[in-house]
Amino acid sequence: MDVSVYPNKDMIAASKTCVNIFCNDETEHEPKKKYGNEEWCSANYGQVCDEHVKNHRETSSLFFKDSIPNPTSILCMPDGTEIKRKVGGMAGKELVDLMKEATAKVGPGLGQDEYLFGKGRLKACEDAVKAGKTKDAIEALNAGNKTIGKNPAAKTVVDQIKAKLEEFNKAGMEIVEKAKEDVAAGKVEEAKKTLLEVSRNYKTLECAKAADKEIAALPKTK
Amino acid sequence: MKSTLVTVLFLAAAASAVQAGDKKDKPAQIPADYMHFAHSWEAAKAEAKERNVPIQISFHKDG
Repeated sequence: MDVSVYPNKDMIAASKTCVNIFCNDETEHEPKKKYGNEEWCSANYGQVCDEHVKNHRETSSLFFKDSIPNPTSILCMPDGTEIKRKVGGMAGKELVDLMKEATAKVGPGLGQDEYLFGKGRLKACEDAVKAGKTKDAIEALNAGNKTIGKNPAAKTVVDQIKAKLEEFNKAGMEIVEKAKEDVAAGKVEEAKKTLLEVSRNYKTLECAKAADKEIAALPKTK
Repeated sequence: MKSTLVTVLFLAAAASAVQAGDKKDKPAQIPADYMHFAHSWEAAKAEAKERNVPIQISFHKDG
């Protein structure tokens, strides 16, 4: 579809119920040369020429035997199986209706905003881990779980969040077990310090509760 | 002193005009709440599977 169709608010809303891919094998876009090709692509499609040319190369042989009539819009199942296609230009409403038809066929799906939010929290967790900030990593995951955790359509992303939280919980439990060994070996102060860190950094997880329990049971030191 | 001040003001105004001209010649940046496009066919399928949503493919030429 022509770029002028896309800024329509109904089109933007409908587009969030699909994954959209733009395929164009041209690298010269702006005939009047008011600005560069890359700037034009970046502004209109949020990508660079190499990407939409690559998209074209990857998909054209999957959906066309001979020449490609432009424009053509194709709606597919999540695995790439074609549902329906429309050759030629169309009004925004027609494309919106096509998207709605395909969405109904695929079934309940996760909206783009919720998906990007969940993925964003996973990325924030990853970044926090790299920076050595366990507390921030767990908070990022908890924020994702709290916001989209009850949405059945978000199950795949929520499962990733829960798996990460479980990894943290397991790691925290191992630290608590190590601290218990330290207590048994008489290294109470060292163990207390470790347990307090688990209690503070792994808040909301079972391992933090286990750490609190061990702290309460620590023998008094002089 | 006066001529120096005039020169500075003139240069500042000229720089500002050049910047305004630059902005005018550039396309507006893509707004955050806009239509998003996948960066590859494999990425599109992976996201569509995770979200359980259709893929909308647009073949287009500018000419």
